Amino acid sequence: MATVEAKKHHELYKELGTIVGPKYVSDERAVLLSYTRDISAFPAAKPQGVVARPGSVQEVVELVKLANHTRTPLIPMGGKNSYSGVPDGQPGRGIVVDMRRMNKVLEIDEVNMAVTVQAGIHLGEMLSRVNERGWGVHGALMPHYGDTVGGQLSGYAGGGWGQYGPSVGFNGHHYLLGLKVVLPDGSVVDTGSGEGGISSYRGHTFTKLMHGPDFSGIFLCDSGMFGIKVEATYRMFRPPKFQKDGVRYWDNPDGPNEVLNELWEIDPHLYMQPYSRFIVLSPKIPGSSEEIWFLHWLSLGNSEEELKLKFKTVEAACAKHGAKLPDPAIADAMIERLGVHENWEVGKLANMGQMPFFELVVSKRDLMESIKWACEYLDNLIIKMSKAGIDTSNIPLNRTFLPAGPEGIGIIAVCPFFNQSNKEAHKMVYEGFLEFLEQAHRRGYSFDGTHNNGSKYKARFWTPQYYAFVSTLKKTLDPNNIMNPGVYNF
Amino acid sequence: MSELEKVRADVYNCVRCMVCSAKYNWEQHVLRVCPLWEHSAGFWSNLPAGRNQLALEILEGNLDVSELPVEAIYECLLCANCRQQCGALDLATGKPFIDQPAITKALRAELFAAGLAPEGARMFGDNVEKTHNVLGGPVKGRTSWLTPDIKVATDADTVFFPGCLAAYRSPEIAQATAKILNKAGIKFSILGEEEWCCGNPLIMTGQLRLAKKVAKHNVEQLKGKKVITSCAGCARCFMQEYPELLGEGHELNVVHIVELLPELIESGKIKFKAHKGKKEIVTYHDPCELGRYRGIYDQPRKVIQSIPGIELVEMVRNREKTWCCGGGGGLKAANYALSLEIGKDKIPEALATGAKRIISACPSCKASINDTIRAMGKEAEIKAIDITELVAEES
Repeated sequence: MATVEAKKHHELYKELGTIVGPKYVSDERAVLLSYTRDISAFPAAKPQGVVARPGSVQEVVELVKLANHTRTPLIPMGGKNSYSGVPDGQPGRGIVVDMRRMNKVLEIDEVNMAVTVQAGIHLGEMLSRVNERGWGVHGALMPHYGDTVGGQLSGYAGGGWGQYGPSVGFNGHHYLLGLKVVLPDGSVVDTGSGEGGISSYRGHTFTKLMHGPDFSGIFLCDSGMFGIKVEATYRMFRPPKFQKDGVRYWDNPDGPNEVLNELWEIDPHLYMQPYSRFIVLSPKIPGSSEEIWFLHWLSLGNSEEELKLKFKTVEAACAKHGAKLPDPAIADAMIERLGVHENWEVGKLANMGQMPFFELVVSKRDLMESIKWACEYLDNLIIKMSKAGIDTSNIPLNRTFLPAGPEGIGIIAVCPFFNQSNKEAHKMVYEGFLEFLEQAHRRGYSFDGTHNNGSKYKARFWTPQYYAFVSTLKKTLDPNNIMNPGVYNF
Repeated sequence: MSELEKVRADVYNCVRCMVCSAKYNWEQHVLRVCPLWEHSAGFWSNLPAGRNQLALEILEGNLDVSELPVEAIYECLLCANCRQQCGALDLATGKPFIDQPAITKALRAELFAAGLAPEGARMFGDNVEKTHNVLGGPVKGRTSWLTPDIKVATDADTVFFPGCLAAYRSPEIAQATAKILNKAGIKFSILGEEEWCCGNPLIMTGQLRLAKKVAKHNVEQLKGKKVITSCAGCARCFMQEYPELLGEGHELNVVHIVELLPELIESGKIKFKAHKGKKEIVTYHDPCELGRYRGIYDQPRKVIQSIPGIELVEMVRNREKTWCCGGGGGLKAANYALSLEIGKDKIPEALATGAKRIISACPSCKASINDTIRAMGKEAEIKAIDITELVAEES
């Protein structure tokens, strides 16, 4: 007589069910596999042992204490919109902490212009919620719908539209008022204002750095290695009422760069308004050598007169530096692709293929040199792929630079879109990506990617002193190394 | 070729951008995409992109069909809101780049072939095998909806195909449709006991062999005729599934009654009663299989707006953004409680319009919405009726 073996569950399956509710725990292999890939299409991680979906700070606290007690790795996860792979964790044993159940807006404090959210909320939902009341919060260039607040802050804290134009990390640097974090020992810390942090801030006037040092920063871009973010408070602002898009083009990236350099010098700053944006995008048409550099901008104003003045100023700068006016249909298509509102959604590009963004963050001084280098790198990669017999005619290429003048930096992203069914292309793009990170760092450029592969590369280039400093912090906060082991090579 | 192989391109096209996990949308404030994700345990595998990834893992050889989470696959409503909101189009053809419902149906077909489909889904097939209708009603009861005042021809070029639900569960819809056709002077016959299930519930639950059998039968019966139906599922199945199932050349000449009504009203073949005084506010629920699958949004609205005593007030989510009634994709058979939970999201939206009646154009939607209303104890406040009932009542 055949015997049916009872399914052997993960060692903590029952305890996790007690903490978050049995419905929100799974150790089914298929479910775990669905947590092994991010948006990059780079090799899937090996599945962890179990996934739990906490619904409150207290549940996260208990979950962390259990993991600490049993020395079981935790792999916090948000919207899986990272570009450099899912962290290694401990295959077969680690606990994926899926944070998306904690997706509520806790408070919109209009008097103090602040919004407090749970960290599992999608960025798009947070923005929509505050927008319903006539407010804005600084978002990200993308992802917009898929990214969670916790995931974004654990990465580079939001790249895109800052108050003073496009910027990197503005959520963390300028507009994040505080965080609530569950530390690896299960204790909860509020960062931001001191004196009880966020919880005492609510309903009171908030002045950052008045009550002591602000340690929010160590949890930004930490890839979740220092704790699990459970709440965040952001500054809100009133968005301008009027807006207008414009598009011009050149056959090289120097033209738009000159325009932007000129605009950066205007005082008061022309686009010192939330959402104002400039983005330069160069799609290379597959199978041809034609390359066009589009400058797309969005002017905003609180009156029609202000809007007109700003728009005309940009138009004039473009004309001065030899811009061409595209066919209206092309201009409309560009605006549609880039999104007419704040967000530039990843999904808008999804039909071009998988998007392994080779993304650099460079100083303003290095902008043109690094753009040219990144484009050349991409072209050489395509040539290499062609020589290897890969049909590259169906691999659209995009080159983007997002200059952040007032920040003194620029974001550059080149992307060989490919279909993940093309295994050879997949392999070569992945190898090319790793080589790109290596070369970029040798040149002194920073790159996006704070998750698996990206964080490992970043850590490889840290100075011994810096590595020792971060290592001391890690060992102090997380002596058992249960928090996202593997990221930054810890 | 396995069913998953047929959707291979769609599977690989999904880049897991997770737009299908969106709950809010900057441009369309009220958008929420996936009812299952919101009302289930919410693991990635409960999301369209997550299911796409499971299909990918099978195609990549990393996962066996026997390891699929059966509930997550069978609880999808196939409401196609994910396909609609994903919005990615094939640059060459202009068609949806990722057909998520097709991927889910392929996963179900694989599960069914492996003998792993849930009992509720298998019940559809058992019923159709035995009685040729999905509800398991007696074969002889197929025409019990007919009342003496309905005129049916024996040799007409037009066939009225009420479908299983209207024939067995909601005879008032079949009756209203037949009376409208009588009033408009459209001579029609019915198939009687030769009317078999269209196959839609079978295709949705992965039972393709049996679906093919009933499709062949129906095509034999209906070929060369003009088919009128009041069921959104039957209409879509005849139009979109039969060519897939049986190959090109097996399309039927079929219309849903809401596609016909505007013409009948305009030509004066259907006339509405005059009305004095305050108009009744109603709201309209777009059936997924009529709306998102076929783009039929304007016709039912035109019909409702042409009735003198009726004022149409839209729910906050309407047309392409309509929230499924909760009865799609065979969910009621797979998980009735979950179906009600999803349906409950719709009722407050309908009540907010001030309507006391929700009009729909699908027997399944009507039944699901009324089930939810009962479960919420709101029977005194609102109810769902079919558009054919409204037209029959007012003409």
